[in-house]
Amino acid sequence: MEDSTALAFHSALPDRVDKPEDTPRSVERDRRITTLGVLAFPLALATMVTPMTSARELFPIVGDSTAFAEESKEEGLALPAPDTISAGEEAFQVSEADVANRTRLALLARHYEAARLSIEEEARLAIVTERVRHLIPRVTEDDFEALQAILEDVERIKSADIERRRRLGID
Amino acid sequence: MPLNPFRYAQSRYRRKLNPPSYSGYSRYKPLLKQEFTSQCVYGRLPAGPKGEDSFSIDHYRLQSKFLELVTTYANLFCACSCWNRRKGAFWPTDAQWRAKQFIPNPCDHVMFEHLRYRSARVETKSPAGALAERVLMLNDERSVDYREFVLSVIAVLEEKKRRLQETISRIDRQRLSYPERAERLSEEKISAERDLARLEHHLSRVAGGVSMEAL
Repeated sequence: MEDSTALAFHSALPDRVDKPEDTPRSVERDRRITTLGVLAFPLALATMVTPMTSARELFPIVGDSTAFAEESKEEGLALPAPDTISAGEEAFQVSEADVANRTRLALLARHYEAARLSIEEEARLAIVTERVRHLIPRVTEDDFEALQAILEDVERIKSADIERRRRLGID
Repeated sequence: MPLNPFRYAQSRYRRKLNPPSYSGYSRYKPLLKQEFTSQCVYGRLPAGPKGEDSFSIDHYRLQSKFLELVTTYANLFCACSCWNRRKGAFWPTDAQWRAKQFIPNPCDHVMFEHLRYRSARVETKSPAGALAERVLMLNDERSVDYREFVLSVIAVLEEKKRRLQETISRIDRQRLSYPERAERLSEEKISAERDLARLEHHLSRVAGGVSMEAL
């Protein structure tokens, strides 16, 4: 009786049944933990963010920030088609960014109101701040590349000037 | 004194333009660019090489709370789209106003009393400045890196501009000394002036129209 119970118990452990012979058990356990972690993280994030979504009614952001796209539309200008992302993806990113920013502003409001946030709220604020930084960037690679292009042109102008000075015997 | 767009005004800015009332606020955009010399009122970054697309119209007093001010010119500012979006629907509560926690603007407040630049990083000088920095995230690392890059590009441009101006004045002196070479020297001068114009164009894009009032 005891033996059959023990057998049933052991066969319920997937790592023992599925583990290849030469795989150390610690490796199998780590894999399980990683898989669980991957599944658990979005769940935990959703749990942390969801209570703040009630702040949407308090912070109706959409009507208050004027995206350039919106201004152009009003002015009757055609918007250039995005190169890398579809309109649907862009719309999703916009709303995701605004939701994250709304959450961040609500937490900041609490921070200033209560003078101190709980450890959990501090962590949540750090997460959404990072998300906003990522989703609503002030500068992009294009900005850096544009400056780089200017420096390259300056280099051409400099070479031309050196050549000009050499021709005229200046220096 | 080297050009530096990253400075906050030490006095309140009085608007120079007095446009007629428009029914749509977006019509004010070209005027706002002119009024604020195509520089963001919060971060001071010029339109720069990316162009005017990086700017949007900021309703200082929120559209949702101050409906009557949606198309009022005095309520509109030229701001980076990013700060505008990050500011979102932030508006101080009564308690925050009492604690002087608000986002300052250059027309109602002396920006330098709240914020200042130390190199490429914004320093806060008041509760309002601290709140503005936090809400707008003025010191996010990428922005600071970019400002440092802008300042280094300005320094390079200014140095090359000086050098070209010197070349041009040396050509002028040669023209006086060697009239027989005047034609060739004129060609060289035209080419140098063309390069100088290119440098000045780059400089105006990167450093913006730094107005004297802002310094």
